[in-house]
Amino acid sequence: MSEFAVATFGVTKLYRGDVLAVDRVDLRVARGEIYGFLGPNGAGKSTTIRMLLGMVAPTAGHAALFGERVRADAPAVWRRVGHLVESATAYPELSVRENLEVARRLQGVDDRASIARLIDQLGLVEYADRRAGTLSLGNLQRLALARALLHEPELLILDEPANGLDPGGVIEVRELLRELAQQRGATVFISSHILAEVDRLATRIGIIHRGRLIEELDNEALERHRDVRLEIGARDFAAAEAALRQAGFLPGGGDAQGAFLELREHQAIAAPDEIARILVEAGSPPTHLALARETLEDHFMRLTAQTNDATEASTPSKRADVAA
Amino acid sequence: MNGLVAAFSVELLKARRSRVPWAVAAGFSLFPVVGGIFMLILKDPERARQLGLLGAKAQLAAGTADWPTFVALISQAVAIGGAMLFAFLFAWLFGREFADRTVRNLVASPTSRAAVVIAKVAVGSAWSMAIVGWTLVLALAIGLAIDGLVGLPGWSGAVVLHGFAGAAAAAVMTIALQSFTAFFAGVGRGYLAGLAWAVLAVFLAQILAALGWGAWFPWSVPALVSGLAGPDAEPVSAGGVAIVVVTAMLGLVATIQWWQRADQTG
Repeated sequence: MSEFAVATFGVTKLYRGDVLAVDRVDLRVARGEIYGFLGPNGAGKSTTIRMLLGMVAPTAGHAALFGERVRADAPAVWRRVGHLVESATAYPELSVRENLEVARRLQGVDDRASIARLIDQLGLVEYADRRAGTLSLGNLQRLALARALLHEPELLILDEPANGLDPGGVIEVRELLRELAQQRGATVFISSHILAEVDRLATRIGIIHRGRLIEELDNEALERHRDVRLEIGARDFAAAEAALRQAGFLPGGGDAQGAFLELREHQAIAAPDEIARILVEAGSPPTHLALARETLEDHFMRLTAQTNDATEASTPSKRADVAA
Repeated sequence: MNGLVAAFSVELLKARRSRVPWAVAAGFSLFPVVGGIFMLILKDPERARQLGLLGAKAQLAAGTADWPTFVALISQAVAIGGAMLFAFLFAWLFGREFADRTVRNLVASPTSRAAVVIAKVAVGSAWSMAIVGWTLVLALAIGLAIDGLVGLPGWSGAVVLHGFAGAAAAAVMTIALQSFTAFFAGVGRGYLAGLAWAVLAVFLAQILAALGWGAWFPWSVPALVSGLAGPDAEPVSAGGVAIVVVTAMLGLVATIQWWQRADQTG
């Protein structure tokens, strides 16, 4: 039995017209993990997810779920997998209940009560007999999530599951996914543009950019990678900066337009009170003193910007390698 | 095959809830109604003009008002009209999954893709045959009603049975050939390519039948079986029927293969 719920081996997709959507991506997602798969628009997230689900055939490499190679003619593995790919879709002429009945039959789920359970769990009770074509985007998304969860899958592959949900719905879905992972041991592979959401939920994160997996890190590594700084506001930035330099610190930033002075030394981050004392004694007391932690969004933007710079500096294309 | 029964029940549920299969049934129901009106007009053109059924200077070239003409009219309408109306049904069955972007829920499912395709073809065929059955029953009822009201000469159980059997045989062939409509609805990822193919097939069928090659062109054969070429025409050979069967099977295999192999990016 494979220890990985999801694995890809140099998976690559080159579309017609020499469009390299995914370039030699190697992913490993252990069972029970909540894996956040991030990337800007057009980075290759959806193509990767479609290759995981056997909807798109890789040009090179392959994907495996639970150690079994993903193939269009080997459908048994989908009993263990729930999915939601990009925007939610449903048969518009069927009611919410009938759409779930379709999913129940296709998934081979014998338990008819599972439909009522999911309708209740996803807050769709009052819409159960309404045609899917008349649902709001948020309720359509809830229906798509209910369909993905109907057969109690061991692995959930979700592309933008919070699409169209209101803030309350986002929190409900987050808690639901966390519960699935923690109590049932389900593996969740989630791609989302709402990075704060992924930050709260994921136990490991992979960042894809221009088709390549540029970083993979778990929660601890993310904490280590986070940029933490002490922000200092002052009425006279020059005087405050001079006092800090005299005390052996190397402040950055700070200007008359209101940007804060920033200290990144461990000593300053561990003891902001000491910094306050230095400034007060120098006659330049702080007007603002706060620890700022880089968010996943900041980290993501910094990383993709670095990759953009690096790619622009070292062209010729990788497309030729793959095409060859 | 994985999930064939489940796929069939799902397709049946979707067909029952949609308006398209019912619209196709309504379209077919027009054939006997129009056929009946033609019989009334042919029976008494002057009265038809008075009732506004026929324009002042118009003539109908459908033949005479009798049972053989009525049965032939229905039979040919089923064969030729069926080629388009069945295509609507099959283009909808397959194309709607792409238009509604629901195909993504079908392809990563324990129910195999081949089962989904076969279930769609089975539901489309069963629904189409039910429509043909209803149309022929309706035609018989309308014919008997006209016979009772104004008299329709030439009744013969053998004529009606032979004519309706020809219509049913033509319909079975036309339905079988819809595997190509299904194939093109997949390749074109929507309704339009399937319908465009159906129009092209009807056009080519007319041309080749007119040139005398109809017995060897699969899409011409159903119309010939229905008696479109007239009572003196040579009957369609077993070879002609075999071409239809082989072509229909090729279309089905091609459709299954496309669903198995093509990238689903919709």
